[in-house]
Amino acid sequence: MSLLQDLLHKARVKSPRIFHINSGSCNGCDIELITCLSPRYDVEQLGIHLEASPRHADILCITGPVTRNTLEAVMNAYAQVCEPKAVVAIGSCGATCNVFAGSPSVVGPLNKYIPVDVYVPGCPPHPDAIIDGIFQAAQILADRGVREEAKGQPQK
Amino acid sequence: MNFAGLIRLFLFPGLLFAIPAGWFFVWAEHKVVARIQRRIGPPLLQPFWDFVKLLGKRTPARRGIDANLLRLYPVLSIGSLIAALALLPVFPANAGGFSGDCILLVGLMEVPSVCYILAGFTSGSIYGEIGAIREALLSVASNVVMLISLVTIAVTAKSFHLTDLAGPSLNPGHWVGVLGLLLCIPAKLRLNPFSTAGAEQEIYAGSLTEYAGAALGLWELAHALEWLLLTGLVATLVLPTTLAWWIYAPAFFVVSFVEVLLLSAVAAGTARLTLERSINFYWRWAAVLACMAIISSAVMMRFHL
Amino acid sequence: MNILRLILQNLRQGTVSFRLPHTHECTSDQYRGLIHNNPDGCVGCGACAYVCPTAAIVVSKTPTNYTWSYEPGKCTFCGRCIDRCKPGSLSMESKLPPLYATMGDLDVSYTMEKKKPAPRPAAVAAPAAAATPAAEPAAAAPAPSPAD
Repeated sequence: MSLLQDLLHKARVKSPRIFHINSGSCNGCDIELITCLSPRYDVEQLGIHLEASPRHADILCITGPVTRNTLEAVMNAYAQVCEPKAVVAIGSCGATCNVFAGSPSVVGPLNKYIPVDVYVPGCPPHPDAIIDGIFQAAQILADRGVREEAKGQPQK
Repeated sequence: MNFAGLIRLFLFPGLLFAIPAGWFFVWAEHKVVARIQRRIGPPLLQPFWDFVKLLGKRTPARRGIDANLLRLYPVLSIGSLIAALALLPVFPANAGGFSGDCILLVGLMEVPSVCYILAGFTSGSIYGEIGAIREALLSVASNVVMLISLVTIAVTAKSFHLTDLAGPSLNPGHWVGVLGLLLCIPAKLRLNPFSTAGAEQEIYAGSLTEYAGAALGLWELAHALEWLLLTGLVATLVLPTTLAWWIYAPAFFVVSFVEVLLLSAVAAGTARLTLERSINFYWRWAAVLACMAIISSAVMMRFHL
Repeated sequence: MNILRLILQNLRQGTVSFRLPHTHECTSDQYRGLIHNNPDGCVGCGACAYVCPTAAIVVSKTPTNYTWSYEPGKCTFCGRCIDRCKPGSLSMESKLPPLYATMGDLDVSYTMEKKKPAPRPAAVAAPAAAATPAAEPAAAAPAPSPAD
């Protein structure tokens, strides 16, 4: 790994910006995600910052099973996040639809539509678990960035 | 350009000093806000890591948007901010600058704001347009006060040469002018009481909603330089010009830093005002104060007081 | 100027944040984490699968043995299965469930032979309670229906 790539890898680990999408969640996970930003668990010390626009973000935090109404928004936001990116599914819903499984308006789970890098189990997950998940996603993202650059720019 | 001019442009307070100092100020702002909210806050190198990371993002070309135009705006902002920093009368004893450079400084200081507005409209996003309109209205409101304040300072110094303006003065008009400038800085930096233009989460990211990757990183750098320029301008107006250079340079930095702390504390302690109230504040209160200052200064100048 | 007092107070009192990455104990011993089944104690009654709101626990039976499987990805960590477990073979961790990268990483499944002596403790207690003969088929009969 060259010095420049090393620097870039470190920068990606140290500055994960997140964008949060609620894809039909019951709000439990959203409240726990906002708790991470609160003074108690101040994620800013890890450089994690909640972005307002998906185009500024690196990590997509998706809560909830994917409902029919939110599917388009989720796909849209995923497309807007620039490479390298990572996806964290927060809560059991993102993984399996949880209690909403089988509902006619739920089209999830999430990994049918976009690749998920980290699942954070819990209903809702503990804020510590969410922070760990984002942190792990940042590392996955940095490694992926290095791999892709070594291969050459993937055609988009 | 002469040798001193090049030093000002590239060393102090230009590129080499300005970029790390600007990042430091941005970090200090976040840290102060965090401390006031009883948080720990970001690590020291955070703005640097953010910048490096954004340079490493791959941004695919998009249909319907002129990417080169969008990339031009932050570059233009950074260029004009560096040029404006080079005009600042640091080391006024060395007599840099030229007569009327104060007017050039005002013009250069406006370029980032104009670029921000244009970026919002060029991006074609509805949120970008809302952000641009708000920024335009707010800069019209705050610029009235800023221009009157600068003219007040110029009237008391009887010159438009920044070197003559620098340094504290016994004339109260000078201090009212400095106060007016300080009142304008939050609007220029889109800080909290007057943060309607950026309006994080309310209109997504305002003008910069469609920005990504390196261009966004350049905008963040431009914002850091804006911090340095505006606080630095006030610092040159209050620091005594007779200091030796090795005292002046750290003092310049310290005074700017104190302003950053003050502005961040104000930002953390206030809520976002609506656009109407922000404009009201500038035109009804700040502008009246500034007008009174300029009239009294003019009267004092007329009667050689 | 209440805000000034608040700012000064906050600055004086210092931070309340945890240092991250954490060094502190995240959870209390009341925290509801992953469920563990002790295969030795399990009698395969299927009560846990019956009360599970998300079908995270599934018990399927064949004439000779039964399979107890648990999918933490579906679990709401409500603890109802623990409450219903008569033999007490289910237990809950009090730590955070681990993160996982692919679906099904945490899934657990046990296949066990049907225990013949399992009803025996009930039979020992039979003279005392007349309800046990009724309870015994009830535990065996409804279990397969929620499992499919």
